[in-house]
Amino acid sequence: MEESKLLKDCLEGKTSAQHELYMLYVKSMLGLCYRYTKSMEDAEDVLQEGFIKVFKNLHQFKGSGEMGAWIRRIMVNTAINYLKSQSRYQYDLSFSAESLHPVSSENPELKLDAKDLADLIRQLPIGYQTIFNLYAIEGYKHAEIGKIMGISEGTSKSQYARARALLITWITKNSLDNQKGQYARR
Amino acid sequence: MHEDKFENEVQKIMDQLSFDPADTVWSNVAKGIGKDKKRRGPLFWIFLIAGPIIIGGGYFFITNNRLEKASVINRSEKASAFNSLTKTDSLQLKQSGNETAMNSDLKKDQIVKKSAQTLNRPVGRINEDRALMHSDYGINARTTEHSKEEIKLNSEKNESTLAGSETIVRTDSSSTEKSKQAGAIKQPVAGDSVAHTQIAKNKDKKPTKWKIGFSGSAGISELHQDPVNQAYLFAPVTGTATGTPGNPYHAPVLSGFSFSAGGFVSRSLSGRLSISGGLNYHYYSTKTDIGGVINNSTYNNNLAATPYYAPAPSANDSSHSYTNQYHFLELPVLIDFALNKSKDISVIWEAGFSFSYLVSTNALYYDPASNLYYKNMQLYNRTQWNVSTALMMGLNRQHNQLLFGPQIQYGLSNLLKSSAVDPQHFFSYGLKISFILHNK
Repeated sequence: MEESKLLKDCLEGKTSAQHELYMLYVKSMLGLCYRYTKSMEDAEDVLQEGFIKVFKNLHQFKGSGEMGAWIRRIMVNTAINYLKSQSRYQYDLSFSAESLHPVSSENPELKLDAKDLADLIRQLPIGYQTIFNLYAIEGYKHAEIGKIMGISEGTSKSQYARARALLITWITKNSLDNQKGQYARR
Repeated sequence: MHEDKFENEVQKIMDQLSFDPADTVWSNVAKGIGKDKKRRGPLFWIFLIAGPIIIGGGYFFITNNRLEKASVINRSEKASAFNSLTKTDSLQLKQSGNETAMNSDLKKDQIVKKSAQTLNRPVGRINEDRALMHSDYGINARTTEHSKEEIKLNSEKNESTLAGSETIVRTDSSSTEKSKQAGAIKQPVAGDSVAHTQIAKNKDKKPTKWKIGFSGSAGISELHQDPVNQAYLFAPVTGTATGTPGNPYHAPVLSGFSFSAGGFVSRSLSGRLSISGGLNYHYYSTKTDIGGVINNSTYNNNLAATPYYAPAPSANDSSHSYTNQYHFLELPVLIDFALNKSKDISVIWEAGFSFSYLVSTNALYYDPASNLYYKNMQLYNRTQWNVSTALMMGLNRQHNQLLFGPQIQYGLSNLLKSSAVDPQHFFSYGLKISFILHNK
């Protein structure tokens, strides 16, 4: 079905159209939610709440942009709000000036599939994970991230640099382990 | 697109990340979307039941009052008919010394009709008619002094009972007038002139049924999803907030100050019941925690409204409480029912509805796509229907009445145009004061 027709039917409250729209984006959006959370259960909770927001605010989508991008923004905001609201993530989201890891400017070659890379990102402390997702994957600027997270632009930059360095270390280690495994099998 | 190779590669790989969700996700989403429709169900039934009860109650009181009036009119007509009969034929009755036997209401009614006809006839016919009446309705020629006195007492009693009412003035004067025209009335007795003077005085004292007054109220206003549950925004939570399991994204809309002021006219429907209509200015407010103003160009979204406000940041950053203000013009129609009959302190139960128009608002609306608040009046229903009730105590001083007491008001209409989002209804409660002028 054409997207504009699908949108019109959804706004009229047709369940079949709503389900169709859901099916169109649900897989990629669950992937997004998975990156921001620590478990698949949490990811599905975010996905569920995000889609409810999408349908309840569909009248606000004027159709001038891409619907996928609009839904994606809602999912990102829903994920961040979810993390902020969950007490188990509270400590990790509060940023301190303490430097935990050295800053790296390396650009390693990525030989990981999407699931493995996402799992490495999810191993980052939740604050680093969120900033990494927002900056590296969603393309937000540090000023915007600062507003969203309630931190300064400088804190966002430094936290990102540390997250990046930590991830590169793990990716490199992961590659080395894979190579060792391959040699061992030979 | 990032300039760094690493970020670009990460983006490309992550775009491929996808999973199949559990089936329960869609069923929960569908349930979440349909929740609003279900919520309106009980509200509909509450008002469907309450509406007829209020209307029926009002109809009962009004009808009851009319029946009472009609009964008063009948009695006064009968009394005046008997008066005229007694006056015109008193001498004849005395001479004949006959006794009347008019005990049943049926007979009295028939006599009233006959006497009314008689009064319009020439003098010469009256005696004939009287003779006819006596034979028709069993009035014997034997009327004792005792029964005559009884008739006289009854008619005086009717006059004294009904003194002051509009009905007795009209009935009595009309019958007197007719009697005069017929030329059949003898000189009025002393008691009659006293009664007529009293009636004239009462006529002068007739109280007006219309009154004017001023009213005002002050209290708290809230936004509710339904009469019981307070509204929550799909809104960002603060960095320090902790959500509740299963409901983590809802930020409460805090209550604010509300007041109203206006004038009204009131009309008495009966001794206890009155109806009033007026014009009020009504101010509602609610509060939301927000961050600073955001430059519109920063956010490439689909929204046309400006300015944008950031969600409330963490406790370390500056945030402030924003007051959503709503300005309404309101046309209330209220029924007042006096619960007691005290002349000094009255207790009044007031109930009714009002139609209101949203003149302006600066209320913020949350956009989940940009994670920002913004103002847009187009999102609100400007016309609203409300129901209200109050329990008022009235102090009567120097012909004026001061009423005050607790009042609650609930908005029946959804404040938001979209039926897809959680509905918002105004709920306000506080103290109401009314001042009625010249409450004679």
